[in-house]
Amino acid sequence: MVQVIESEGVTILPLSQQDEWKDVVPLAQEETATMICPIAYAEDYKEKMDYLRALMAKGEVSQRALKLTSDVIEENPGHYTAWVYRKRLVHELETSMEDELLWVAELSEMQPKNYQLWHHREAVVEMLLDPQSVQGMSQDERVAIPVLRRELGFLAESLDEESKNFHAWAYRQWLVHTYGLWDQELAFVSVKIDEDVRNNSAWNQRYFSLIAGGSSLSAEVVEHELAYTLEKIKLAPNNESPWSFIVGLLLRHAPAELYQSLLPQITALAADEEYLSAINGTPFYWATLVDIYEQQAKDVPEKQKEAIELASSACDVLATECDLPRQKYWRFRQTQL
Amino acid sequence: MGCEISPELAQGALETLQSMQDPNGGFGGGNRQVPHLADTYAAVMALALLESEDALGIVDREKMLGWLIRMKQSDGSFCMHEDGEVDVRGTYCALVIASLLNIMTPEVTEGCAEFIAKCQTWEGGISLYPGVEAHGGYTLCGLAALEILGRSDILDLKRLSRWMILRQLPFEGGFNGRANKLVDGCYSYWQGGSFVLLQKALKRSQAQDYLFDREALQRYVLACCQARDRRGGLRDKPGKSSDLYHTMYVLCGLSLAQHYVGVEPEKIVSSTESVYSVPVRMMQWGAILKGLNVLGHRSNLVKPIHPVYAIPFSPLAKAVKYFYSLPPLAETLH
Repeated sequence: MVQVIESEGVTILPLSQQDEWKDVVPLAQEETATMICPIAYAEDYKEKMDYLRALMAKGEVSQRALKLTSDVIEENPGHYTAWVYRKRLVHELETSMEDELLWVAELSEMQPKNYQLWHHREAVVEMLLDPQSVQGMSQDERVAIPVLRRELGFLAESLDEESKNFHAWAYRQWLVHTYGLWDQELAFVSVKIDEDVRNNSAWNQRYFSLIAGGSSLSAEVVEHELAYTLEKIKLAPNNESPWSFIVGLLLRHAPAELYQSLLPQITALAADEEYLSAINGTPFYWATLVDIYEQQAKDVPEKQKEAIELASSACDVLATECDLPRQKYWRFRQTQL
Repeated sequence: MGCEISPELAQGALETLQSMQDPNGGFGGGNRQVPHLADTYAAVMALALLESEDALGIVDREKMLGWLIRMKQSDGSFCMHEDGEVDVRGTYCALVIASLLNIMTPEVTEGCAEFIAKCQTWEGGISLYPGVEAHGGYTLCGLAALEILGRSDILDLKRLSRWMILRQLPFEGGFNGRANKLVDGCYSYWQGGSFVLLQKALKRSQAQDYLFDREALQRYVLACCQARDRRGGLRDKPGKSSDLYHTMYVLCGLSLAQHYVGVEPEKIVSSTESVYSVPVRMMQWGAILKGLNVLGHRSNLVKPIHPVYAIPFSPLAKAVKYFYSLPPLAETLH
């Protein structure tokens, strides 16, 4: 039996006692006597689910159906079937997308790690602002559009709250890509890296914004990123992200720069009194040397023998001093040179 | 993992799962729910664990194939459900389901490997979809899907292994899911399992052992992931409470760290043309006794599991035998 609920002085009757729902026969979850792992749903949620099932079964498109999906999703945001139904309702009822977005935004604050919610948010924003409509606009004009300004603001807040939230970064990529907001992204990413130089999600977004939907990087960009990354390495040498970032970027876009630019710069750093002990003590430095010399051996035949020896001795350092727990890997890597 | 499933529980599970099958194919999270790839994957694997023809027989293969094809996207990826999100989890679930049910057709497999390759990031790991950050869970999804297809060579395995090895933390012994994140017990399977799959991709033998530190991982699981309260179960890390998700994947990780599960390089079947190459390749995997490495008391030992399907070998073999005795829905994979 569903109880009458008192909430903040307002009495909420069960749906079965409300006139508005008189015409609906609730559809209970088919339960067999042998049903295993039943979920102990609260009675009022269970009743809402029964009514929702009934509405979905007859495909009702109505305001009350929309309201019911809100109630169900607020209690169980992982209920993807309710989301699917809601998306259809929102579309067919032509409800205010502004209101829909506000509702989703409120929910996102409570449920930052839910797949359905972020997916729904994309659909709502797309219904609110046709991506075609921003074509031909300048970057300043685009970010001034209220929807986009608000979404960027919302994302900045979400990422302040939890700077490595996978879903928030993924949604940000979708927004930047769909509405061509590339020009402002690098500045945002740089702030996030300044806030936390170990935020690997921000380093990933850095690569995403540099590539900007294309596949190549100019020599100027490569040079700038080399200098930028080196400064970040100096800040915290034992930090995987910048080491991995610069090697990954150069391998894809300018492999020769690995031994022509990065190598002399990091070896100089390793000899600099100020950084000497920190750089030589981090496995990331030695691992980077392995990557660099391996590339050099591949590219420059006359240096091949020497480069392989240097890569091999870097593996030795890793396997015997710097990265003992991973020695099996470094010994394997040595055999691959 | 060695526990008996009583006939009553098996019957209950069968009926429960039956109520979740959609009349147009696939399983939802409950009855009258839209079918979902993750739920379907879980339902099919649970049915396999029941080890009976009655249980396996409830799956409507033709409808399932039709539904999988409806979820398939033009770039080779899959939608998790009608109107749902598209990502590499979908590829993994779809290929696990199709390979087990003997419904691998060109429409299912086309473009999958290429999509996964696009998910490999500048770091070397695999991401949810192209552009986003490399992640342990999605790395296993990608690698396992490629193993089903026999296409792991499409990845840059050197960059992949370089990223993977840094995910095992030197102090804790457990794995994190992304760079500069904290260790979490569930990655014992997602990352540990990826190492098991990598072993075959790199054609390494049992004598060479896995590349990660098996004892350190077992130590983390045994010392840090067991919930100390009355409820029991396994958890992410000390201070967190246990749940079914972590219990499942921590246990799978423990199993993979204890047993050496692999295919010796000289025995690897590389044919990928006929639909019958799928069960041959999948059932080549097995535990090699010589590779056993159990930390602590022998009562810590759990059963070996298949790195792709994450269930023990015996129920898997029965399910494979059952479905591959049925007529295939297509003769070739490509």
